[in-house]
Amino acid sequence: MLLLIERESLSMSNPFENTEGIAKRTMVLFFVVDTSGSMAGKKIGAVNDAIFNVLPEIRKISEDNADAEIKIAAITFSNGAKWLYDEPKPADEFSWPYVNADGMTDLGEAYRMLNEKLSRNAFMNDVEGSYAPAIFLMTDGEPTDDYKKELDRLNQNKWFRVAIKVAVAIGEKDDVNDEVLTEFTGTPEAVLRAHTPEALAKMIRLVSVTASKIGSQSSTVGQESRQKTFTEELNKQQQEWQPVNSADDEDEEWN
Amino acid sequence: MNPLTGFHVTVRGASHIRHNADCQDYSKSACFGSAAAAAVADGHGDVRYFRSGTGARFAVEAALKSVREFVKRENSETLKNADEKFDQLKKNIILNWNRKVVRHYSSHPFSSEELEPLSERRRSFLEGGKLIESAYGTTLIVSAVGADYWFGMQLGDGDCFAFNRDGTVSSVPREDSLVGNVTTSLCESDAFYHFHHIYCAGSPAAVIMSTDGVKNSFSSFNCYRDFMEKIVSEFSSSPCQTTKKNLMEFLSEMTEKGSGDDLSVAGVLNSAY
Repeated sequence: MLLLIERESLSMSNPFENTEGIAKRTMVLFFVVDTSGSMAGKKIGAVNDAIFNVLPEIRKISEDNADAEIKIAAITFSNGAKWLYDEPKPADEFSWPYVNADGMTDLGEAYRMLNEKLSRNAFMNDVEGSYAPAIFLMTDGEPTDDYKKELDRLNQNKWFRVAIKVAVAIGEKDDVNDEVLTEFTGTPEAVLRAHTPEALAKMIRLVSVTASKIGSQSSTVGQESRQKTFTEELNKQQQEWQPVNSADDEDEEWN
Repeated sequence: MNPLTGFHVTVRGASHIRHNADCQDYSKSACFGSAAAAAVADGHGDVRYFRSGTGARFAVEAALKSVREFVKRENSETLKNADEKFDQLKKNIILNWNRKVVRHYSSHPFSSEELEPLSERRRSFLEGGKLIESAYGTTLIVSAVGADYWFGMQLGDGDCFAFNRDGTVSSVPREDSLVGNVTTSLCESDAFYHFHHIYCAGSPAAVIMSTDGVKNSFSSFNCYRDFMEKIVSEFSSSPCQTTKKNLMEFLSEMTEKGSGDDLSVAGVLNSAY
């Protein structure tokens, strides 16, 4: 009893006890989703289902990670671009609204808006030592605006440079320009192709889960190191479900 | 009597305890004649840097050894506009650290258990005796205060600043590219180019530094700086051992509620002010 009182009084007298502002670090996962007309039908349906279904897993990774909180931000682009929420939402507060597809493919506008928010004064303001973000682009077509100019600007952004970047090409090689996606990720190894709705669902799950795990790990040396760790893990995971993916060839295709 | 005293505190991170991982931070302070110095180092957490706790200790030891020799032969007159002397000090620290690493590796070659979690490519490099220093990768901050000057040097993340007598704060310049969980390291071949320093004439009221786990436990830089100021104030007004004990207790709680990382704080106090 005496020991307990002594411990309590010692703890009460600790002058550091009233220190303010202690918080967990945050990792933001960005979904950048093409909602142009060519995505209408099965493609946008598969994206909607896959993001909706992967959210519980991301919430679980965030809950299980005692050192970091995962937040989610999402932007869609067609005629222009728009954020789903005006700030990144904690994984357990983020809900996916089932978006529709229509219009052009203004990828450049999405890049411009992403660049604006990748800043300490915008979406990266949470905790002093926020983790580098993970940015996940999903598209099925050629950009219809001047995306190169905005990508050049984005490439100057410090947060973008250290981010994990990954892209999924939805559809066949003739439909999607891989070069555009490689320009975004910086490496062809981080560009995946979904030939079927089933493969797309698996990829969205795989990428979201892997990015959330790798992205919220401790410090790493060099700007490219985390992207490299991510692509290595992604390729390893992909090989593991490749046999299943092969069987998917017999699954329903996009058209 | 030397009015300068050093202090240093390191606690193992809550995340390291949960994952049964060693503490990868190290800190130390020392008095050298009329000068005093302190250093902290943060070994990288990734599996590739599996001896980073040892690397952090080597970094602090190498830095304090080189700084001791440096402050013995230099003074505020010889250090005016002497960037080349600080460049040489940086090179000496890097060289001393690499020597310690090579010596340690020679007597403790990598075991199969250590290499097993690595990628095939990295494993083959290390087995071939290449890139061995990468296993010991760490950051480093070191500072020394003399009778009428102070300097700080930093490689990688973390922070170091001085509270001056006029109420202003001076800090070691940071690399712009260090955002998110990205750092530079002593183990990189271009480490010298990432090693920054500040030199100021006049002795400050205190110099304080921390590894990144401390700042990463705060919602804003201002909250972090207030905390660092509070540490200086407590060390200046209360017995050193009591403050050290209180700080260790608090940091152990803070890592749980904050970054989960190992936490180190060290500094030099000037009782003349």
